[in-house]
Amino acid sequence: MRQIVRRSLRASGRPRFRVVVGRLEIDFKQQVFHPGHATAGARLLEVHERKCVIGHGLFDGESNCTAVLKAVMVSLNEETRRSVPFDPVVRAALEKFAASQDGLPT
Amino acid sequence: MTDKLIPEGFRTLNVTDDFVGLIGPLWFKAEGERLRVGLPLEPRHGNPMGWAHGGLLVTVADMVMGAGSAHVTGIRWPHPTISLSTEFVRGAKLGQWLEGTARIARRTINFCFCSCDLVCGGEIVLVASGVFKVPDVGKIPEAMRSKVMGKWE
Repeated sequence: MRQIVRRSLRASGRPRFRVVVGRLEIDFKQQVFHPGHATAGARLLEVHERKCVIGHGLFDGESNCTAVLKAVMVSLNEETRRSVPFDPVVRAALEKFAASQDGLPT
Repeated sequence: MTDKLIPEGFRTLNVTDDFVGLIGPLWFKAEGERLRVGLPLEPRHGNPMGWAHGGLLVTVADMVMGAGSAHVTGIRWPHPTISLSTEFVRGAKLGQWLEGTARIARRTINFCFCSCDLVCGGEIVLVASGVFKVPDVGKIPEAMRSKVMGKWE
């Protein structure tokens, strides 16, 4: 998710931004066994002044949902190590992601 | 160097978990109903910013509460995680001792409701809560059953 947003911002010459994980909430639906493979999907759910919420789903090889996760990502000033509001341009881009149906840039 | 970080009285926590082997070993010290679990933070545990990786902290919190549940139930067999919530309070510096102790709010026949704080360098770096499934003793392989019953000493 971070890479998708960063790539989108870089392509249009927008400022870089740094986010760190502030909170994780994980619900495990069922066990995944090996050998096998797992696929993870993520999308932006909410955008706020200093944080955004990303939803994740983890699926097994038969597309059964095995876990869901909500991650609160906090916008960080790398020098002060404190939270900082998103740059307005970044926030507008993030809101576009959050509002899109598939969570991808249009 | 990391051996010097391990407080006195801690012993290796033997768990049959290959994933934990990648970050560990973890260390434990039983104090009555409490089970202290920790590990020395090494360069291999770091993120690109030079702090302990968030995934490591979550893994340790999960193990602190999972092993803490096993200590309370007296069944030293995996207690699968049903849900897990974590708050990243501050960064944990590498080269320090990281430790947590599970608090069991309630234990039912099937579940343990837990929380824990991870402390590093005298400060809380992560707070966590979770629900853990109490294993069915009848489903533990018979050869193992007698070996895994009882608390850690």
